[in-house]
Formats: sequence, C-alpha cells, structure tokens
Amino acid sequence: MSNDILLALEGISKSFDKPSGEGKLVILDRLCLEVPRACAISVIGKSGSGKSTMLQIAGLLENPTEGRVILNGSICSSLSENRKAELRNTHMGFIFQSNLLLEDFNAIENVMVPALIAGKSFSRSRQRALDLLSKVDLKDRLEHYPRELSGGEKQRIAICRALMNEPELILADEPTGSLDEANASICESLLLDLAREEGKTLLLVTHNMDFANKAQAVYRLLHGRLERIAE
Amino acid sequence: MKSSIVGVWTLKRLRRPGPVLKCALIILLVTAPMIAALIFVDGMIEGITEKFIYLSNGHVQLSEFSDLETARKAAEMDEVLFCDATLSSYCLLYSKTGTASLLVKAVEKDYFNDMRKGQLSLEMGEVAGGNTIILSKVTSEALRIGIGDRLAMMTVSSISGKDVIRPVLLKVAGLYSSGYEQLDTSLAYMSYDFAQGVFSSSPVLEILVTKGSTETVKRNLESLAAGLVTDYSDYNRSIYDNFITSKQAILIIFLLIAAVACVNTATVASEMINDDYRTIAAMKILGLDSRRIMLWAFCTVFPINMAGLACGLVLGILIAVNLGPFLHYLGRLGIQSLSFYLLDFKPLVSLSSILIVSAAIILVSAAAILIALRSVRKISPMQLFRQD
Repeated sequence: MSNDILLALEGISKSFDKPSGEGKLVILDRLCLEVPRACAISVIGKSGSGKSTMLQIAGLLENPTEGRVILNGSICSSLSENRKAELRNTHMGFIFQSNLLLEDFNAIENVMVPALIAGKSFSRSRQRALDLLSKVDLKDRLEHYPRELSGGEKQRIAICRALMNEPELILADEPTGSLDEANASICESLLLDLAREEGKTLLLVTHNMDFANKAQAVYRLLHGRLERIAE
Repeated sequence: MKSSIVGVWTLKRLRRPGPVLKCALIILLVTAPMIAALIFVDGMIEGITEKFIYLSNGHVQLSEFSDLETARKAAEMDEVLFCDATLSSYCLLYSKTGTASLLVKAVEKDYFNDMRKGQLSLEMGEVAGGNTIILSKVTSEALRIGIGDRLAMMTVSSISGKDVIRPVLLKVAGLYSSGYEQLDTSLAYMSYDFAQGVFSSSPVLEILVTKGSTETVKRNLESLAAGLVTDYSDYNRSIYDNFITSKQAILIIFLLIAAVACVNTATVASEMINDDYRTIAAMKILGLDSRRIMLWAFCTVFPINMAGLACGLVLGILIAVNLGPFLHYLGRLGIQSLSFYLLDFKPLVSLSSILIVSAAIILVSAAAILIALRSVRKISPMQLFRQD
C-alpha cells in the first residue's frame, strides 16, 4: 500500500440479524475505500444506506463483520478496545450531527478534553483551544456551557474539538445536518478551511450534495458498496 | 504541568453530588452511632472492670498462703502499688424493715487509698468501735437505715474448728456509692481486725499494680510459690467473659450494618454510571479507556464516602463523650433499665475498634464500588448513535 494512503477500508462487510430472525440485513458489502493524506473525501447516499456505519467502522467505533481497517499501514480493526481508544484520541477527530458535547464542561473545556485525555499540559491545551475557538469566532463564548449555546455554536465547538489533538484524520458524520442554512454554510466553510489549513485528511459523510461537492473526491454508497461519482 | 482528565472530570461531576452525597450521608449516619456505641461499650466495660478491681478484687489476688507477713514480703516488688489483706464472707443483713444478701469485705484501715477513693464517694459518720459496717447507699436505702443505725448480720463463723451460723450486731459507720448499682447492691465493708474473730474464711491479699504489669506480678508471685495467684479475669471469669462476648457481638452486628450501608454505595455508583452513560460513551469516542473511566467513577464516589466516614467518626466520638452525662440524667429521671449500667464512665476511644470499623467500611465500600463499576466496560460508544 502506498505511503500516501492514510486510511484504507478493505473488503468491509457489516450485517445485522433481522429482528424477525430470518436471515441477515446486509448494510455494507465488501466495501473498499482508500483515503489519501491531506485530502477531503465525501460520501453521499440515501438515509439508511450505511454511510454512518461505514464512518463508525473507519473510526474504530464499530467492528466490521468482515474486512479490515488500515490506518497508516497498520491493521487496526483487530486491536483491543483500549488501543483503539488511544488511536482515536491521537490520530482521529470526530464531528457528529448531534455534536456530542459534554454537558458538564464549558466551551473551552469541551475543546480541551481530547488533549487532557492524551495527558497534555493544561496550560498548553488551553492555549491551543483558545486559538481554535478564536478561529471559529467563539472567543466570547469560552465559559459558556452547551445548554447556553446555539446549535451552530455547538457545532463550531465540535469542529474545534475534532482538531484539538492535531489528528491526521477527521471523520465528519452529517456535521451540518441539524443546522439552519446560514449556520450550515458557516460550519461547512470552517470545516473545509481548517482541515485544509492544518493539512488534515477529511472523510465526510453527508446527504447535502453541495457540501459533498466541495471535497476533492465524492463517492456514493449504494447497495453496501462505494462508487466514485466526482473528482 | 501534565493534566489529568480524571481529575478535571471528577471535579466537574462533583458539582452535581446528588446521590453520591446521599450515600455519604448514609455512611455518616451508620458510622456515628456505631462509633458512639463502641466507645460507650468500651468505656463502660473499662469503667466496670476498674470498679471491680479497685473496690472488690484488686489487679492480682494472693490466697492460700502459709502466713500473712511472708505473703506481704513476697508481694514487695517495684510494680506493686498497694497490698491489702482482706477477708470476705457472704452475709445476710437485717434491719427493722428489710434484709439484704451481699458480700461483706473486711478491709484494713488504710484500704481506701487515693486510687480507691477515686472510684467511689464515701460519707463517713462519727461512729467509733470495730463492730461497724460501711454500706452502699443503695443497700442502706433497701434496708431503710442510715449512718449510726444498727443492723444484724448473719454470717458463718468458725468456732472450735466448726462452721456455725452466727449473728453479729453492727453499726453503720458510713455510706458509699461507686456509681455502679450492680456492685453497690452486692458489697459492704467492715473492719479487718473485727472480722478476724467473726469470719471463718482465710485472708486474701489484694494487690494493686502499676499499669500493664499484672502479668509480671502474677509470674513473679507464682515463681516465688507464695500461694494461689489469680487476677481479675480469673476472679470474675463470668463477668469478664460476658464483657468480651458482648463487645464482640456488638462489633459484629455493627460491621454487618456497615456492610449493608457500603453495599448501598454500589447502587449509587451504578446509578451514576447509568445517569452519565452519554458522557461516558462520548469520552470513549474521544479516546478515554475504560480503566480511566472507572478510575473517574471511583474517585467521584469513594472520597465522598470517606468524607462521610470521617465525619461519622468525629460525630460518633462527640456523641460518646457526651453520652455519659446524658444517660446519667436519664437514669436520674427513673429509667430502671439504666441502673444495670455504669453511667459515670470515662469514654474510652479505642483505636483498635475505630480501626476495625474504618477498615471494614473502607474495604467493603471500595469493593462494592469496584464491582458496580464493571458496567463501565459494557457501555459502547455506539449506544449514542443507536439512541439518536
């Protein structure tokens, strides 16, 4: 495998037992994808097509039924849960539709959490979080708790948190799905600009075609497999 | 400086103490009366033991010796503080209006030294002569007599080598009160010199020794073959055994109660994990491993419990220190059952009892929390998405 490839999904299958007990529901069917370094790739598809499942497998949150996830040339899908957690902390940043901010932590603390998990110094983590929040224009919201912030502000904080540990790979699952048009547009630009500015690899799942088209390559997930539709 | 996510998260979570605080309160409420009761029992047992030692038996008893002077000389050693010859006999006392059956102890003039006076209040009248008796206030009330009144004593005397029942007329020379009714109802004192011609029993040397040297004095006397050597626990075996058994039973019962309280902390820890499962799952997504999440949960619950334990210990000691006067007040109000207890005791804070209770609560609490925290491993980040 080329050194240019940061993440590879090889023959990934995921199926679930049907509730009725009659056979299996196949979500992903021997799916393959190679994500080059410092590249933004988007995946579109209908609701229920398996986009989120694919992203969760790529993020080592879900185990595939078959196939393997390769990050930086190492097979990661068979690692222990603790080792996977460590890789998520150091190599990946996550942005989800429902932002998943921690309710007990204020804005700057939410951004700092990945660095604190990594055991980085408090003062340096705070400075990095401050820089990121300044870039997304939330410098005056540092001490605010998620319940005191709008949806757009929360999603901007989630973007900062994903970038906090300077991960190589950012995985974004419908990051603007729950935002109004204006906020969605701001977050789209921020995410793509920051990823580009910091030289990050972005794997984006969305059903928003306009957003998807801003990536360097666009794939469609259909019948459990990916097909490239634009470059 | 390296930072700890566990520390930061713990401080955040403690801003919503809720059930954790309730759990600590339960531990406090269990620990405080438990410690108070243990101190009360320890203090009372120690107090009663001292009453018996100083007023009835001595630390060490030497009996069945050949002659008194040789025995006294044998008992002359650095550890011995006082050595008094006594005679004892069970007697029946008769006044005009009542009777009492008790042990009459015949003692020498200087028997009531400062150590013994510290164990009783003694009121002496101006009654001269050897045929006198010192009764307890409880007995005098039962016989309805006071200082200077007469009473008849029936005892067993040895006349011409034969034991015969003999009446003796006595005057009440004084009244005492030890504060422990059970002792007071069973003991009276009279003159050793007078009793020599009345009691048929052989003299016993009652020896008071320095603190912690009972065994040394016993061994020394045994090695001298000075006579039959016993100590307080031999002399009052049943009382001594009852005390030990009572203390052990109380300790076991309280430890079981403490264990139940600690198991409650497991429920609280489990509830906390359930309440915070979204945060836990999010932390797992961000890369925090289960071990550190368990450490977080432990650090959130356990120190609060230990604070509850510490407060319980302090509160228990405070209650115990003030329990004596309170019980004494209740006793004066006429609660009959309290008459079976020694109410004027010094609270004895037994380090061993406190350590046993604390260690048990710490261990059971820690184990219960750790067992409950196993559920952290079962929380999957995927639960967040499935719910969404």
